Amino acid sequence: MKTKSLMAGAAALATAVLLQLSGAGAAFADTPSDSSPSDNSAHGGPILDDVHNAPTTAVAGNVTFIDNVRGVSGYSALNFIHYDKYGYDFMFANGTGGLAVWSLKDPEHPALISKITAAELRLPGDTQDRFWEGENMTVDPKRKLVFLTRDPRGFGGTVKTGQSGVYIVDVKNPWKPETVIFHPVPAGHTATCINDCKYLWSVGPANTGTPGQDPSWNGVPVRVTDIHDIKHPYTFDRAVDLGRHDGVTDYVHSVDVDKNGIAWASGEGGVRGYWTEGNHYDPVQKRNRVATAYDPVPYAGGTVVATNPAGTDFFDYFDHNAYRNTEKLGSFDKGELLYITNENITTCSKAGEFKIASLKGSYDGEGWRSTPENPFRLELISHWSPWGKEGSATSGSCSAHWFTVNGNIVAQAWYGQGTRFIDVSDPRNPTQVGYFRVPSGQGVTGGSASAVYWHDGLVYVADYNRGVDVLRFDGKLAGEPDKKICWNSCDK
Amino acid sequence: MRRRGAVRAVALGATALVVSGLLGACSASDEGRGAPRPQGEMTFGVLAPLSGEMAERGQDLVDGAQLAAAEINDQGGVLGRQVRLAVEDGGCASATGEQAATRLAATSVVGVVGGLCEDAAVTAAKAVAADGTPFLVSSARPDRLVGAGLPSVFPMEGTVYQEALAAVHWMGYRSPQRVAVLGDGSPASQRLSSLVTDRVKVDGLKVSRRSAAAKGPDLAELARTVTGFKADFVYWTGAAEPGGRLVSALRQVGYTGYFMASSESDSPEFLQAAGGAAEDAFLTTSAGPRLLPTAADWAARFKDRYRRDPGRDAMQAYDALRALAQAVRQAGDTARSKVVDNLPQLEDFTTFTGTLRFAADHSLAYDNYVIAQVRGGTFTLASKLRTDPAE
Repeated sequence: MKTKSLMAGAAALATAVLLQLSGAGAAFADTPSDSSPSDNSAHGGPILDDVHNAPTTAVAGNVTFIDNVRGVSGYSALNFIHYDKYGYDFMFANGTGGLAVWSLKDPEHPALISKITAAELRLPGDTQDRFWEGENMTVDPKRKLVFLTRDPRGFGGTVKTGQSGVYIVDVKNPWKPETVIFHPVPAGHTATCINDCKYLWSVGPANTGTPGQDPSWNGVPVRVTDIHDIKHPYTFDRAVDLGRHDGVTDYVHSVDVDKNGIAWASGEGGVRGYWTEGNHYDPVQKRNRVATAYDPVPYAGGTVVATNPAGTDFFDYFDHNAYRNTEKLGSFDKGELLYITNENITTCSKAGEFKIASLKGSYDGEGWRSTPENPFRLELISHWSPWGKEGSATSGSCSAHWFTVNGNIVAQAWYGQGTRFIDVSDPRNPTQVGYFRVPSGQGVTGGSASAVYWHDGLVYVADYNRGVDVLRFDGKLAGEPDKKICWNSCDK
Repeated sequence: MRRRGAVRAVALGATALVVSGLLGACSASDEGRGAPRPQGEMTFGVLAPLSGEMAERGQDLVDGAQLAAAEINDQGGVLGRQVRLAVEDGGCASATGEQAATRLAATSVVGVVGGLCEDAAVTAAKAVAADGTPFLVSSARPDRLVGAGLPSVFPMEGTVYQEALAAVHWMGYRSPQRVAVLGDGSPASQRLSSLVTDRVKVDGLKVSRRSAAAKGPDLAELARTVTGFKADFVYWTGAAEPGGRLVSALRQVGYTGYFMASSESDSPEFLQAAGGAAEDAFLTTSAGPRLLPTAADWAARFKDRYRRDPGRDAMQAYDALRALAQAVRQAGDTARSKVVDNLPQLEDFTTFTGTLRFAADHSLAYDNYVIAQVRGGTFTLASKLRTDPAE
């Protein structure tokens, strides 16, 4: 592996440093300098001032740093929408500071064009200007909508006192995003568009004990909202994916739709897939029936055995998010493999891992019949951590987090361990083929990577501290490159 | 039968009443003991048919508004001022509605509530909105009002489209596979049937839509259609009496699936025609005090004051006046534009069905359609179809 102690791409570095210096020190500030629109035809319209933090302390292998943008804060998640009328994409990020929008007319150097600050998202009774936090951000690329998922812990709230729900933001004009409605939902850690974004599945967090939550639940499962008409959203008073942890209803953390349209709900107790459209055999009800977003048909799934000898009852089975590979890989059948983030925020040596499991043996409702006395577990194919690998930190917060897949290369965020590129061509032996990590340093905002996105030949990293880093993976792309990178909703 | 939008016009004299909410409130409530005594007045208009066929409902509306005013004044009024009501008989015709609205506008009211009859409400709304006066329209079908795009007008009723959504969402809880949407061919029935059918199709369910003749419908034939299609959910969008006969016919031919009727069947005629077959049938209908446990205390206060049970017209007018008062409080001013600006962002304000919020087009973001179910020969509440925190 080509190792670099600093970022590669001298020209990019020079540009970034110049931008940083011209920012009059704002690069180190928690918030960007006051922004004002200025015309910049290179980006198709007015742009706002932004902050670019040059990661001069970065350690990288097979990765070139290209740019960093700050927008309104650090971010938990990004998403992208293509606009035919402009002929290029726009990037949307949400984090504690709210929503930021960049033009990707120049994909290597995103240009900040608009924002909705956390202060603008405040509701009556809120005590802080702090959005929490929109992991796994979902968008409707056709109607040009962005969904900001509000966790009850945002804006000064707690899981017991806070208001969860979703802000529906119209971005038809990306220079002027407009909040259509805040819709309260008794769930709200993440959300995912379902069935071409006609429905929204909102999930998590841990049980709030607030109205709408069954006291017997350990966490908030899936809440289904009809968003055919965004002026009149309706949330069903019937949750989905109950009894997910050996029969106990627990915390669903993420929903990710695969290329076949199956929605995979990940969380405490495993990963379970559901058909949400069409007529399918229901292995639980033992009959063919129509699948809908509000009454989906179980497909397959479960969790794997714990791998961390120092784990906990919660984190051993906390499957944070997942990606079902719909293709054949090596000796594994088409659609057999499930890639899973097992999050565990603890010491780097014992932190959560990336796991690969086989779905074999789970197609007959086994994951829905699992009990503590007779638990069903998927076969664990492999598990991987950056601990002890090249370019890794030895302290800090290091758990596995969100990833996307291109061909056989998984690009994954690992908090303080930065971005890791993992070749899964041999699913039994995941291998690191690239990395990018930003330790704190003089003038350098240390990284805490939340999510990594392959996008049109580049890699964009949503970082809780740094904002967005734009990278290029210089290694060899294993497998067939994906024309469409699928995570969250696959209707892109 | 309560058939909105089909009310006959009645000729009315222009009867203007000015009612002090405070005067009528002396024994209504002691909630406001210790509240500062209101200084000065502000007047809200109330528009309702007070003569003709709809006079009884019109009086119900006025009484609801009066009760709200009385309770507001008991609690210190609005911005320290006593609330007064100017009541106008708007009748049910376009002309009478417009005339009444013009008279109200001349009295410099802070805002207006009421309406009830659709034709009168629409023309009144246009007249009232001409100078930007806020108007919370209660009881009247709001589709034309929403379509008119009047910036200061906010309906308190759900649209026909929202009734269709209520029907589709309730079906969702029952997980049907094959849905029959049946109607009587009237324009209202056809519209609702069309809206429901289109939405159900989008979800991939099998749908059969049929209409019978409005007069003398062949219900046996309709029932055979349902069984032939193997429907497991039937939604009837026609009139009440044939709806009752239809569910009876369905049960006679062995249909065991779900039956739901539209708000047209929210009537004793439906129950009488159906007999025992009505049991367990569902209804999409707008919320009223008899269905809502959350309105029980209020209904008791109303009965204590007026010696009769309140209707839904009283309940909506009560909520409308309170909402208007809340908007004035938030505005800190009676300036019409400020009151209008605050109506879409009422803080911590709930009605008997939940949070009151308006969409960008001023339709209710969360409408007042609920699901009733026949239990023991009477309509009971099955679901408010709300999951907002105030539910």
